[in-house]
Amino acid sequence: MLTNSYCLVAIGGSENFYSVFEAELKDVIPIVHTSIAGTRIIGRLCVGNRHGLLVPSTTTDQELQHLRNSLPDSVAIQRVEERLSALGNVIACNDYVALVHPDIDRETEEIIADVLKVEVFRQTIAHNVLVGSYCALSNQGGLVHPQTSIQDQDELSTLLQVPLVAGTVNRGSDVIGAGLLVNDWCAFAGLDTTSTELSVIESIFRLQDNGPSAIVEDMRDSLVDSMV
Amino acid sequence: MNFYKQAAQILDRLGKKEGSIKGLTLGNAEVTDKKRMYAVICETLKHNTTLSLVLQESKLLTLEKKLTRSLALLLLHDLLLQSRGIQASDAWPMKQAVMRHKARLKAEFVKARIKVGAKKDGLVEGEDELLLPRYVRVNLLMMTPQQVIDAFIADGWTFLSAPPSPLAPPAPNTFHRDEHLDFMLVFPPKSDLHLHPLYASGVLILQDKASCFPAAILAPPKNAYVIDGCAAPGNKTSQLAMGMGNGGKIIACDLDLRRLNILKRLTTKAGCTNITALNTSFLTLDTSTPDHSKVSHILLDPSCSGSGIINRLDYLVDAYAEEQEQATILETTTTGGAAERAAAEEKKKERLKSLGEFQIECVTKAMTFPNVRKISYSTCSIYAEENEHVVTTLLKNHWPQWKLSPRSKVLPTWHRRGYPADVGDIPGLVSTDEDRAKIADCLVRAVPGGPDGDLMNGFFVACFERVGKNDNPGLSPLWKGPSIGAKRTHEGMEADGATPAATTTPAKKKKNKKKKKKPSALVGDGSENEHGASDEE
Repeated sequence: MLTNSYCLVAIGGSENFYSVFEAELKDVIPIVHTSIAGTRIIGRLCVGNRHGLLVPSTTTDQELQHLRNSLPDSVAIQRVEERLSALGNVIACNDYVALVHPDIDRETEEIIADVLKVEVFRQTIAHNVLVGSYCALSNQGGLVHPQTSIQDQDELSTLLQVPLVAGTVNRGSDVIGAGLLVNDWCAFAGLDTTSTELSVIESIFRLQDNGPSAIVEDMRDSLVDSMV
Repeated sequence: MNFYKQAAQILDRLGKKEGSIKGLTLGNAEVTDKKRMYAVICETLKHNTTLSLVLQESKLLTLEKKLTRSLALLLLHDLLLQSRGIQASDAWPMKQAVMRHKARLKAEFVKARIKVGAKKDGLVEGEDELLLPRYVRVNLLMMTPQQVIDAFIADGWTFLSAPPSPLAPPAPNTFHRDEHLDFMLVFPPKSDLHLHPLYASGVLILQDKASCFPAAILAPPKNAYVIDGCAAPGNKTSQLAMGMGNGGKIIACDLDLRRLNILKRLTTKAGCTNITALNTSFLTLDTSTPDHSKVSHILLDPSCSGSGIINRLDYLVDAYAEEQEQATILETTTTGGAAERAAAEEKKKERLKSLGEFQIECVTKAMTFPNVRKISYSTCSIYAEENEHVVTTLLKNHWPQWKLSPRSKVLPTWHRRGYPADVGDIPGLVSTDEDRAKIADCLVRAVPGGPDGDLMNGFFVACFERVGKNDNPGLSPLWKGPSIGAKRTHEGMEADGATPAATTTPAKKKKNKKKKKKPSALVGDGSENEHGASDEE
């Protein structure tokens, strides 16, 4: 669970696993070791951005208190009474916009808007209601389910105001949310992710200064150089 | 009363066409903050398409039973389009009802804007607003057009010697003379001349080109007695006075005292001195008083559906009313929709029919004035029910005492004429397509707006002329007869051959035909009348 202002990791992982995150994020944002409702699947159960964190009603008081103590004061934390309790699967968001499951509760919708300070759109992605599972968003761009039609991509892109691309992670897996963590400056992908997939991810999320048009511009510069 | 509740009531009344926007807001004594009310109503109507879509998609009205549609539209408008939000106490249940759904509504609004924007160009509807040129009539009682042109050139405007081609409004900061009416200047759309000193002094009169047609067609001689039957607000009346050089006498009738006062103010400002304003219905005028029996020309512009008028606000109200209707249809049943729609259509037809009857009554009344020679009938409607059909009925009832003036006397150079297909059959007079075309050619129409239209409001004019006592009416429905007065004024035009095709034949040929004594139904329309018809003088 990664945002621009904090990172959550599940307890009980290997030291190797933690060190990957610490290598990238230590001294930049807090990395909080936690469980949600006693489980390790925290990325699928909670959702958040720079402004806030939403956790399901099954979160224990202890866990909530631990999160409150560990996260910066600027991050609002709220427990949500939502029937669709895997918030990470039914909500996808960046710091400005959230896409949510079409059947989500009206109250939850209001809480998302208030706590995460986002505009909330009920959407599906490639006819899947689990928008959180099938896409990954940052303020720079988004990766969506490979079968998202161009028309849907355009519509989503207009709503989100960021470029989108349809793609996969983990060697062809369409469950983007399960295989990719991303914020505005770094991304963590599943171990099986191929280099092609990685290059798409780097490009669409503008990581390592590789904006979608970077290749073209780089090449043009060198071409122009060689021609002059 | 709560501002929003009041605004919602006004919207409801607008939806039922119980008044105009201005009448219900600015002219409504119950409204305390008139300007704000006017603004909020206009803006809500302007964004009606988007807001309705938001309402529909968010299902707000089914979730919050207390909200009415119009109130919801108003609250949505303030919530979504006004940075200050809904101006009401947070404790007001209606505001709470809307605020409960704030996130959803905002999201649906973004989506609706994308949807509406994708359909039309621009995110907010109304941006592709029709731009008509600003027509200005020069008051010849005060200045000549050349003087006005010079004044504007001195102000830094560029004078175009000819109108842009193809037909288009002039470019910013340029203007030109109108090609059909020589006292008319054409300025770019949205030119604000309200503060111009020439407007303030009554030299310039802001009047649409279309509404200058009836008086230009009636063209009463300088010493005539004229009645303007439905006169207010008086632009046509002052144009009549201008054409008559303040000679003769004009009686301006209107039933609405408030509007009649506007007429008095406007005509005084325009320097008209020959106008008598009467606060009475034209239909109840006594035709036998000495004054009225001298009346020779009558201008009639009776109430009509106004369907030709391009006024964005009216258009918005219409769109709103229609949507309202459809929303209720959807609410009531899904199957009864067609029947309801048919009923609405029926209602509209009914309205047009009763308007048509009223219009016919007006002209019929005008024809009872003992010495009237010429009647111009005009509407700002685009429906044949109020135009060609009315003319057909009148011809049927009053031919051969009354005929239509031929094209040569009715703006001969104007290209847009009546629609032949809408001219009805008149037994013994009009039966073939050729007859219909002849009648239609005597009628003037203007198609509203552009680019396919004429860049003005929709309009219709017909001119009836009385056939003198000693005249032989002939068998034609048109009055081409050489009554002496008419001949003198229009001979030139006819002789020039400016009378295009459909007024059968120019004057010269008529004589030939008469000599040959062709038994055709449409000849013999009165070259032999040269002795009669002197009472026009």
